[in-house]
Amino acid sequence: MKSPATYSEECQGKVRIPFNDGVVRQFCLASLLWGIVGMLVGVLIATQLAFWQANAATPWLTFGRLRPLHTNAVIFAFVGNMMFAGVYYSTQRLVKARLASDLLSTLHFWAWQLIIVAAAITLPMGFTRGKEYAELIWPINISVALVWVVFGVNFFWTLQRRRERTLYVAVWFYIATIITITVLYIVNHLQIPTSWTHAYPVFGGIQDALVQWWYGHNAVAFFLTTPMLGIMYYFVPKAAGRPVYSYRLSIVHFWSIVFLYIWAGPHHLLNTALPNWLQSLGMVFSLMLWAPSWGGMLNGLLTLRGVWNRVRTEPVLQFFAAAVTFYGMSTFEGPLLSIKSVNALSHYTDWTIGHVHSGALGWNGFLTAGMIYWLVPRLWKRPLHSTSAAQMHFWLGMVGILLYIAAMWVSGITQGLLLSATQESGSVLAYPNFLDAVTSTRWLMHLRAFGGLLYMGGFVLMAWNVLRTIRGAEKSDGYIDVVSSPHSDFQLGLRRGLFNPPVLYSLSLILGLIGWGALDGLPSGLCLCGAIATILAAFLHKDLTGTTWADWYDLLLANALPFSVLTTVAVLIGGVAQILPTILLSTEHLTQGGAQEPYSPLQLYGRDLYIKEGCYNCHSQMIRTLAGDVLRYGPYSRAGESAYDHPFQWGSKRTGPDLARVGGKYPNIWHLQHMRDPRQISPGSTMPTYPWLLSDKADWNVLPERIRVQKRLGVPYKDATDAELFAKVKAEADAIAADLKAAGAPVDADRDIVAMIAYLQRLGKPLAPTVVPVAQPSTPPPAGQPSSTVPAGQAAGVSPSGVSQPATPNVNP
Amino acid sequence: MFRRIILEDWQRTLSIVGWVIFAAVFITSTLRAVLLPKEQVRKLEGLPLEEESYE
Repeated sequence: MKSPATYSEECQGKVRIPFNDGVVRQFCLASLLWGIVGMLVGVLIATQLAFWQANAATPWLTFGRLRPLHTNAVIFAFVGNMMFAGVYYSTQRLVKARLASDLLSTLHFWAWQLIIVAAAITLPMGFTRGKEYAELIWPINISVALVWVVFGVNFFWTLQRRRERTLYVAVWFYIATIITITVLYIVNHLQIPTSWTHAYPVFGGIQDALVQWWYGHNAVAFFLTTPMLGIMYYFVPKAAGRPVYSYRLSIVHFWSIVFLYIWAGPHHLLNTALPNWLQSLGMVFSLMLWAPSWGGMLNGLLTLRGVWNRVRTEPVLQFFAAAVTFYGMSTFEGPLLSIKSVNALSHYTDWTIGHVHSGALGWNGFLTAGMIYWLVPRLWKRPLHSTSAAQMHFWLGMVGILLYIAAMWVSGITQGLLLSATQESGSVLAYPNFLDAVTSTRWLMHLRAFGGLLYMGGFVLMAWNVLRTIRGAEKSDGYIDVVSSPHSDFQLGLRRGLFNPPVLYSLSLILGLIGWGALDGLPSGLCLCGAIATILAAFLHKDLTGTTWADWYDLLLANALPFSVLTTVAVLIGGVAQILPTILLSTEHLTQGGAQEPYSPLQLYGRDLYIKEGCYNCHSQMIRTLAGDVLRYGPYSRAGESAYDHPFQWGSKRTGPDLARVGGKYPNIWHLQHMRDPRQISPGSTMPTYPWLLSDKADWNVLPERIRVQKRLGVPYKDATDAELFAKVKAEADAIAADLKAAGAPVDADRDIVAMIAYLQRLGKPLAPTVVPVAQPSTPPPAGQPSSTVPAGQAAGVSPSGVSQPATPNVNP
Repeated sequence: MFRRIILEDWQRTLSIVGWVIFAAVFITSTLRAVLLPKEQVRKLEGLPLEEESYE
């Protein structure tokens, strides 16, 4: 490999720096390819919600397994590859340096594509961690972390070699992305493997929920937003030929976004068992996000002032203008949905899906299209093959998005209103059958699939256009002539970068404030005094040395190191303050002194099957503190009830009903028939059939290791030999099989369906006997209808203040 | 029986601390942005527009 230095050549007293645009070309094409794949899977699963037959009764084609493939493909393959292309292209030019290492760049590209292929194979096979956007199994997690390190090293090494003193705001956004994603990814992927393809996350229940949505929300913030904003701040001015509307506003935009986003995760868990102070915190910080988000959106749109006449004719500007507008729309909708009362209507419905897609399709997708249309003619030195086709792409995409999100809004609000509607002074559900929400919105599922198809069609057209453009074209790498050397005096080095007055004063002030809030009594007072003393010391220092605030500010931003340290601090403050108090709670505290028993080994096996099949994609296990939920599903869920759930399964969408208290609601035979053919019991259901659960033989040999890992995670399983464990599993399975046989459905005890039934019958019954009574001859209630009895173990509820109160009965009108 | 977690009061102050830190950062960055010299702003906003060439 050539050293980057060998690429530089003296040119009339200047140094010529040729950029590494080869890797940018590769990432652009990969983004296009994986984008179409991700959208194709999206259209397929959207079709499955309209036609259950599209699941094809094939394990690897079911909605539960393909939905994670769709989300991962779109986020990490489509947007990820586009992000790497945009970051590498713009960074080289903004800092006037070639990417530090060609080897690392190449390694980065190919290793990322291998990870995508590995994900595309393992997810349909059912190898999953059961956490949204974090489904990939642990060997792939390690690979992702390593590739991210390669990206980070390559990026920061390039900054170290830069010839430009000042870091443009786009580079700030890239730094925040790299640092934050590192922290988020590592924390949310802490796990203990039980085999090469399976692991249990170290956090469980409410702790896992909090960590997951801290990650999930900020994956959107720092993978789908901050790098895109950096790309916007570079490419929009470039395409418009005008500087950004207000550079000053971009500074405020950056710091506000970084400090606010990291606190907003709990808005995904409103009205759940999450402590109320955390819900309020997430809601307030989400609302505060309105201001910087719209500041950034207006900054982007106003950059186009004076060139709106070109927006009519130039596809690149069309895509950018629409993308920035969708950024504004989706960041208006996000805080709106974070208001607790609005969230009570929108959560678990299609409204959230519509919100996500207005961001993904409108903001990310259109920004990608604009960037690629701008880059391709330059990187291949040939005009775009067809401007008309690009414009056709724009309108196909625009109509597709509007159809999609309009369908999701109508569907989501219908579902929310219908499922929460009550009558008789709020004591009775107006629509007790959950399937009413499914059947009444089915036509909107058709519309959604059609909208997605149009949008994908636009990208197929783009792929054709790009391929026609680059076919036979000469690849072209950019270069720039500069006068300065790479190691100028503005590089601070490690010691000066970390230990300088503004960094130390900032850290001292922040730690003092945290100590003031987190400690009690004298230590708290001392911390407050320390924070005040820090401010006074900073003023004194400034006056004595004759420094100005601007000097210190510039010192922070002149070098990537102190800037990165401060960004890390910003990210950690929000994360630690939110997560640590809940993590520190003991399991005993959560379970009220051990009132929750662990799953039996067979139930645990069934739970792992539930996760493998991706049931959490359609079924929640969290009854919110809302009348509609309590009337429909039973007493609201307590934090302790999922204390031993590694991972938690609270879910984020109810295409089917909540299952938190489904245990004991129906006889075993009902579950068998329902898994074999959902429509036999629930006419109108969109649930796939699961015939393989009745034929596939369970592999109980995995259980000893899984139980051992669960014990390491703090789940109080009693010591038992493997033989004792297998005997217990067999006894439990035999009882369920005997019950099924008595009900007229003989099935071998070692089939997967038996374990799945064992798990489902346990849900909501913390102390219930393992084996449910033999099926009664009476007809079971139809699916989706509330049962008339309160589940065992839930005869009485406890108010949030801890005062016992009568349980809220399920109502069967 | 389960009880909803009851957290001590100090955790509620984290919200206030978070807000204070954000406010401090917001005010600092806003002040700096407003006071940024014009010539520096021009240089920074011009960075993406600097000329480059292709081979």
